[in-house]
Amino acid sequence: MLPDVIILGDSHSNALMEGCEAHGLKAEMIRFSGNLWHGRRIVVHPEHGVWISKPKALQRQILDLRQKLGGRSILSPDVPVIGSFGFHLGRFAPMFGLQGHVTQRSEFEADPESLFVSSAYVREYVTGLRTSHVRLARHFDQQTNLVMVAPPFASNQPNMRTFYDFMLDWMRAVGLRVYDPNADLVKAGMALDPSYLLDDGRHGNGRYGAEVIGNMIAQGLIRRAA
Amino acid sequence: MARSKRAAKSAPNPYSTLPPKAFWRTGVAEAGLWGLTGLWASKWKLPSDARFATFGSCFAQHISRALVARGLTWFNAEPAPRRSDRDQAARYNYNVFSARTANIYTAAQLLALVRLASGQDAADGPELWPEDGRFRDSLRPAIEPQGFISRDEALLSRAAMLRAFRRCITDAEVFIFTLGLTEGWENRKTGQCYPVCPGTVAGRFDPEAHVFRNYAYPDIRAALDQAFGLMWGLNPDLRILLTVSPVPLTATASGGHVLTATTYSKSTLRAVAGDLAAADARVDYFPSYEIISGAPARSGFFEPNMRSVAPAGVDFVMQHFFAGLDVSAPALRQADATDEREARIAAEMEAEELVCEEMVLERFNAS
Repeated sequence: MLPDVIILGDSHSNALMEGCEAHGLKAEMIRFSGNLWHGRRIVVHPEHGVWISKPKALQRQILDLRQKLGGRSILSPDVPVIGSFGFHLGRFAPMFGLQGHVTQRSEFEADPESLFVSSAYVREYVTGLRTSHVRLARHFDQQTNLVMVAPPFASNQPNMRTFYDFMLDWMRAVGLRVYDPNADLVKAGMALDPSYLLDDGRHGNGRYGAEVIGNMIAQGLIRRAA
Repeated sequence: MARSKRAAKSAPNPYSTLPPKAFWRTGVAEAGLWGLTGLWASKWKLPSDARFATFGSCFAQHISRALVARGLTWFNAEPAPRRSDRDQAARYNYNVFSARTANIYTAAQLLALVRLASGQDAADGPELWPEDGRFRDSLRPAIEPQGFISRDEALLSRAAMLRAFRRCITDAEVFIFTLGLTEGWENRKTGQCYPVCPGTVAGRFDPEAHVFRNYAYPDIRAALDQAFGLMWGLNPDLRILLTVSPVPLTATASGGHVLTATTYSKSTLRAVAGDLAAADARVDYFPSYEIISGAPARSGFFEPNMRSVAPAGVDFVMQHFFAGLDVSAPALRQADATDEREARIAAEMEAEELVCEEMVLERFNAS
């Protein structure tokens, strides 16, 4: 029996997996750490759909799942995929702001040491760091029914908000379907309520996953197999 | 006759005790280009970590690069955000001067910026030039490749530049300024000076509004006196090192030949710089202009277009700069905390990723 959905992503996939279980969806998960996504180790594969150059332990994830899918590619029209990768804002937002660079007027005016950076610069900065991720998502989308899910917005740091919004707009502009959990769970201008987060303060917990998957079902973005 | 010549030679006079560098034969002709010594000795004994801010015309860019290459402290008050792509940062004119002023060619431009940065003039006063739905900052029309998306953003970026420029005055030990041109353009009604003639790089030329100026010695001297006065009002200890760019004019709007216009321009700037250095212990003059343009070089440091300075010329100038610079006084500051913060953030990110890797592998734990 085929799963209802495959979750393909990074460390934020766990919460989505728990959310699927909470809603009775049969889900499978393939998860690689952000380092592997950034290292361009995850690639499109003509046979497997998705592949990772090494290590073998992680390649096993893919081969095992293919067996469960009856030999199908991970990316097939039969099983929709939730993509949870490509943002990884924590990897560059703190560095971007290290010397006081800000992207919003309010922050610039609040801190006399800050330096304003234009939106054109931000756009090039982010696309330079994330083009390979978005390109990969587009390749996946050509082979399966892909919905990208943004990570929990656990910070109210304004630069983070700018990058987050830019990533959403960019992915949508290139034709990807993107679900923004924070549009439903977060009040405007606020960070996600800590009760939705694990102790690390970054990753969503089971409650968060359940809310996200519930909203996605309600909005018709995923559904149980007939 | 021969006896009186000998007598004149040996009689004491002001020239008889001068060092060899004071005479053309020994200082230049016999020394040759590569034997030139003692061209410049800094007036100041600077701390080893002295912060150098650099601004001015194109040639000033070489000074910042040389400072960095020598491990001295080039003060970059408006750097590109960390992890920026080097090419992107360059296209947006980051890391060129100590703030994103772009080229400051004239003394009038420097004065205008100092007045804005010190709050004498309103930051939103200088024009913004609309262009295809975007906006150019008339103070630095090419600072962003495509201009700004809105008037508001252009003004915020200008405010950031002025904030950083002010920090270069208040927080640097040495403010290096390379004088480039005497020729410039102004708005006849408002008096605003422009870095380039409107209608060339950006903007639109209006013969009713835009007027050519060829600033003379008194204009330049007055502008620099005012600018330095304001700067010392913010930082009385600031040392100002002047240089004159040896790069000839690309074009002159004076009506004369570009060669004579170049000579006028450089001679005037050289004279003002020398007099300012002679008048105040906080001002010094470094002779980059003479090193490149003087007779010993026989124009050999210019590229075939006889305008651009070849890298060998830049290196030669900087050799003399560092030979005369004295940074032997004790350091003023501790290590930069920013580097430590960057290392900490990188380590945190790395640790987070390691945890994630381990979580992935745990799935294969059969026990």
